[in-house]
Amino acid sequence: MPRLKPAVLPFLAAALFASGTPADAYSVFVTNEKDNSITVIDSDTLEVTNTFKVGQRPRGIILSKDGKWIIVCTSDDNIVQVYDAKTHAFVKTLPSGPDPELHILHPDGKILYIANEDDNLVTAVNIETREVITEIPVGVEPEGMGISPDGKVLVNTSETTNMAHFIDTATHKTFDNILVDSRPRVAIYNKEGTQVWISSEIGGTVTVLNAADRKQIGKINFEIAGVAKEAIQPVGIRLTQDGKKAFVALGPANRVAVIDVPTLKVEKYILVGQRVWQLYLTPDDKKLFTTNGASNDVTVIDVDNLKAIKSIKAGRYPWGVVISND
Amino acid sequence: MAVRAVGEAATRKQTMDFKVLSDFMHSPDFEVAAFKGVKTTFRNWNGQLRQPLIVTTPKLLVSVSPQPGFLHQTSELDTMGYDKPETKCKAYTQ
Repeated sequence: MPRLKPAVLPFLAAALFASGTPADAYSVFVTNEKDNSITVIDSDTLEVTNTFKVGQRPRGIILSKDGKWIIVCTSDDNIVQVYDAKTHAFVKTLPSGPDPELHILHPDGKILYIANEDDNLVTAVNIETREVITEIPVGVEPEGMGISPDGKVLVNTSETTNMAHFIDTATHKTFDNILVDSRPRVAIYNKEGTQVWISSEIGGTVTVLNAADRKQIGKINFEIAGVAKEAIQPVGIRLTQDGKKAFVALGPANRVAVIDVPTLKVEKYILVGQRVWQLYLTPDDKKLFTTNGASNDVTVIDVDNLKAIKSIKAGRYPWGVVISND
Repeated sequence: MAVRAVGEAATRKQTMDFKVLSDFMHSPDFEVAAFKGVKTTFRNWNGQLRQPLIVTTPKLLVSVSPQPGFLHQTSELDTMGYDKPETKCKAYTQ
């Protein structure tokens, strides 16, 4: 072996580490509402690896079922855009109806349901053929979109009507409307499909419904010493796969609440960046990434220790976030 | 805004009864999501709507009040206008 100068050794060591990519390195995609761009972060090194331009006012962001596409609501373009998750190249657009905000994919991976904030509709689109299948009338300012794991029930929340609308995906008809606290923003099913969690931004609460009969199981209130009650605005919700913990983004309270799912009690508040809207867990449930719209950064939370470990600068007004499966 | 307030009260209380709706709308439990993420409520001592104010020039949005840093024991929206201790309004006390 040729002898190396000592000065070269650290570089060689660094190169060796860099090439051995750990299995838990996922790509984190953050939409920047004001910058019309997506920031890509490596979940392992916690560094920004790329920033690329997309359409106007990108908000909701999800992955296709096979993980190959990033599907983004570009609200001010009144369209949904599709990008390649690996190369970040533009793939195609999907028709969405006006002002798409949040969207969710049917578990079959084909049908995309989109909330049209300005038009009081949910639009269903086939992502392969780009065909609009139907438009479902809902309440005023629809936003939150949840779907049962079996794909049979779609839940949409309307910010101004203050209801969760339960839609049968076979008939595309609303079969139940549940009044919740003011300005519901996000609806999400637990992994088993037995509960629906709904955040109310102005009500300052999270309502947990029994999915089978839509009766309330519990309601979570938040109280933080030194923070005005009005600043507690719950929006994003994520549950760990083991069903033990839930994380709720509290907006201008600048905190993420950690909830013990069996008891629905708040365990802890974790200080993050300003006006935290959405959040997403890595597939191994080790890290949680939050979008902080007013401080233009992303906070990384260590899930095992429930501690914020890093703030990463994103673009202006980070809004939505999704993480790749590999 | 008035229609929204009545609609909100009727949806929550599931009644058309004037007294029930009026009492609820003036209670601290009533809130209407009328200004993005800020809840608007009624001052139960003079019926005024607590709402943010947009500060603008003819062409440009300057700021939204209440201004950060002005604190209040009940609602930061009460840092604007005459607050309960200063008011001379007798409408709700006569």
